[in-house]
Amino acid sequence: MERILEVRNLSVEFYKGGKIVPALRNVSITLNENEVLGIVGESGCGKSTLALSILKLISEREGKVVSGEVLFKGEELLSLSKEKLLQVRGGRISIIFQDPFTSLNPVFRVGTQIAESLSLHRKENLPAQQLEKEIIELLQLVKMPKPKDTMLSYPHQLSGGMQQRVMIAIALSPNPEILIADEPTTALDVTIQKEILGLLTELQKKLGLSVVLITHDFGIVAETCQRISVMYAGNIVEEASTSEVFHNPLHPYTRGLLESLPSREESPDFSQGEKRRLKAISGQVPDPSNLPSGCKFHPRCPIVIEQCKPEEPRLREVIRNHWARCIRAG
Amino acid sequence: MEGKGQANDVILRAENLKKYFPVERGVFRRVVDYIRAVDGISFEIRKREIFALVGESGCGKTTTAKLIMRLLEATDGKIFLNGKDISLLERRELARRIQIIFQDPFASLNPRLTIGTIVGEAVRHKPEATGKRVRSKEMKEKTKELLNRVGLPVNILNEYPHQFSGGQRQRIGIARALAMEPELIVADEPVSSLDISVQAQILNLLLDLRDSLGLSYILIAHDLNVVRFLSDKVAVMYQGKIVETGSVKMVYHNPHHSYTKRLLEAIPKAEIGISE
Repeated sequence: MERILEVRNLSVEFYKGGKIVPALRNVSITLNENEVLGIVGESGCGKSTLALSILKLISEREGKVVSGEVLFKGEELLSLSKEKLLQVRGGRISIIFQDPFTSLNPVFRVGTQIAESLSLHRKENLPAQQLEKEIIELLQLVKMPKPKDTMLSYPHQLSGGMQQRVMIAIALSPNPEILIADEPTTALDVTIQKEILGLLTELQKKLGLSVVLITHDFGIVAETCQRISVMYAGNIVEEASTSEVFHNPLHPYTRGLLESLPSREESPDFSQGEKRRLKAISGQVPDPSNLPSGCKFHPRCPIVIEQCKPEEPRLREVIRNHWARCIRAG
Repeated sequence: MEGKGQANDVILRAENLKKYFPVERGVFRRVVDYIRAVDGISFEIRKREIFALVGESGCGKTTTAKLIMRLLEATDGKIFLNGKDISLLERRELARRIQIIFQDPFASLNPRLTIGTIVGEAVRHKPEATGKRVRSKEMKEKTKELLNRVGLPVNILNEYPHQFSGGQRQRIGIARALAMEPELIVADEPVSSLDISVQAQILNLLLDLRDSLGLSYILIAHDLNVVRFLSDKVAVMYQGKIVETGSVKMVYHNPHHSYTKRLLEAIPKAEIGISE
């Protein structure tokens, strides 16, 4: 399997209220060709920052990349000229976000917005008829029921699910090699979510895409991803195949998360009034501007020992292809 | 007719509840149609029961919650609280008995009030409903007791909401809801804005409070896993109507209505088969 995307030792800082806040701390991930990689984590873990940083979408006012590199098929992206970066961004690596309604321009028809994307990444200027044909093909690709009507609609006339399909169409219009999807279904109803995830999986296989799927939902990663990276407080704390993460979580945070899910019932007890309690992780996610010393999870960890406090553990390969950032793992 | 044939432990009963919103067109604002947000629903909630209303956006569950709280007046149908028609109850009386926990812990607490005031106000209002006065010292004590009950430290009375995390604010919101010693709590998406590691804590808290205080809940939620974990009974709503209702066990394990089946099938399963 070829490595199509490699993030190496990426550190990103934000400026917030006069303070410097570390959003990503020495993060490294690898995306293989034709693979769906899940990035899972809670608020403040850095998963969205990671998505934005790959395409250098963090504005200079907000923050900056302190160190590290992003390699796309061996080519370093963060040091590219603006021109070259614009070709990659959207053209070879596409991104879709959580709320399609805020990503679409409310004053232009959907067809116009798709056309914009098509024209931007093609070398030639396409004649109107050809453009229209391609737009309709794209909308068919994303299984839009009435492509021609949709093309003429404004975003507010479409449902959330349909808007997200339009976003996917726009993202796929230039035939990218990588798709980054940041919480693509969080804002959608569960039955629509199923359709959109099904669509993404189908398109991924059909078009040979490599996908980075960012989510907080373990159910989604279980159904769509081959590999998972778990993030906490700006860092990767566990990385392995989906199967490994679910059957053998090595990091206490991953274990804690999986055990606290209301859907994980070993022996459902439905007798009225006798409900079991969830095994919750105590405390809360740390404030990025005020991280604890050593292992960032140690204040909440059920198996914490003294050695966890002074120094942050490194990510080590505990079992083959299964990495964890914990001195007590394995 | 009220209360006739009603089991003793039914705390809330909705009968053929309807809420239609008129759609107006033109300069003269003629009513051309109605949005049937809630279209003739009936259900019962018993004491100590956690009753869930589930459905996707637009199904009418939030409107139903508003009708129960009388934030909206029903177009038709009735709601009975302990056998009494709520449209005949004084608002204070209703507020004392039914309280609400909101979805967004960031929006539901007044940022300009201290925690002591946010929870204390509610404590102070309770006696107003019963006609008794409460002294400031008593109010403070009661407030601390409530904070303790929801798992918060008691020395936060002089602090402000922005100093707390989402999960902590949600606990504050719950403390405020409990201050009036309600019988029924409307929990509108109580955990959906929280991180998953915090969700579990709040879900546990809601169960603990139900057990220790004998509360009933009406849970409005879209996360079917949360609903299954927390609820005793569930009603599935679709386009303003209840399409299926029953114990959580029955509905989840043996759904009858095709929409219920679709809804349940759509839940992504956080499990992996050994063979994968």
